[in-house]
Amino acid sequence: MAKSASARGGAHRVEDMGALNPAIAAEAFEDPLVIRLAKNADEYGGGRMALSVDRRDVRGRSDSGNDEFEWGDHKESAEKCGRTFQAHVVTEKAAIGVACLLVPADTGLAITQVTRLGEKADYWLGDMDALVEVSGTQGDALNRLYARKREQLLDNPYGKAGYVVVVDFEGKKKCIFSHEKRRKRGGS
Amino acid sequence: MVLESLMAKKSRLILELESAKAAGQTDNVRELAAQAAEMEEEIAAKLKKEGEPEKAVVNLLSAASLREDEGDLRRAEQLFRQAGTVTKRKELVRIADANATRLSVVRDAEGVRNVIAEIRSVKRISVARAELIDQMLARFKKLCEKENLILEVKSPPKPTRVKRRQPVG
Repeated sequence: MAKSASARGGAHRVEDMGALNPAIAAEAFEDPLVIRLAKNADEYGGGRMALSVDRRDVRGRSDSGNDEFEWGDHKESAEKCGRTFQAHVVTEKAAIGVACLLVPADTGLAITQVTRLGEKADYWLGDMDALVEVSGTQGDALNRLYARKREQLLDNPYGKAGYVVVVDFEGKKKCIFSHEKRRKRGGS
Repeated sequence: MVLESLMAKKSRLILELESAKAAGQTDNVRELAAQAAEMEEEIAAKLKKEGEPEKAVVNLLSAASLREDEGDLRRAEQLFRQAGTVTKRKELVRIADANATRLSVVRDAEGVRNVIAEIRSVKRISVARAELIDQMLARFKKLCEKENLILEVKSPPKPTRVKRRQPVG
């Protein structure tokens, strides 16, 4: 079963996300994450950025710390990615990239499967033990986004527990990473 | 192919599909959706065989959603119906049934559109064909009524005309 998000900051290498989540080709999220973390296009060639991560456990207890993200040369691929996708798509992909690094590092669980329901992609952890809801923003209220994604996770029709990862890439970059228990429902 | 590697391959295809959708590559979306749906169906069949119906339903719902992306609405509807029978979770049964009905309405609506196009092109139709069309439209209307899809639009009251007084003189 899924463990709690442990309350600690950490150092992450963007290029590790593929090895940490070998079942899903997580490498696809490297370039979007580099684009959103880099201060400017010059930094696509390599850099480092801190993300303030607010880790919340199942009881809602919060612990904040800085996580460091470091990356190597993505100059060509990141520029190509930026030309291919609209800004909001890059932001969403970058947030999934953050989840691909934070979730395995803190919980020991990798994203093992992606499924679809309607227009929505669901990211599964372990042996379909838990789900992770992810979203990114640039400047919109992070707490509001977190509340929305948390509700989405608690209301998931599969009745699974899981994690929420929401990231604001604007200015002082912030992230909320929480562990949520499944909501008890009557009759299902 | 073993289940884990099938799941991995399928997940990679879905991620590629999401990217193709975001980049607006319609043809690519259809192709990737078809391939991923095929694998989801295979995964669901294997999970059912292994006695894991509550896991299989996730892949069946995914297969149905992917078939819809592919444009194969008939297969998508079948898969949603199948998903509804596999799971015991009420919420999933409700979602599966609602989607199957929605697709059935969409498919019927497409049929109606085709009929209208046919009538327009041939100008005249046989009595037998007209009766068939009549039956089809009646079935479609019934389905729409059942699903509460028909919105009664009340036309706004006509503005009362104020008679202009003829200028005196």
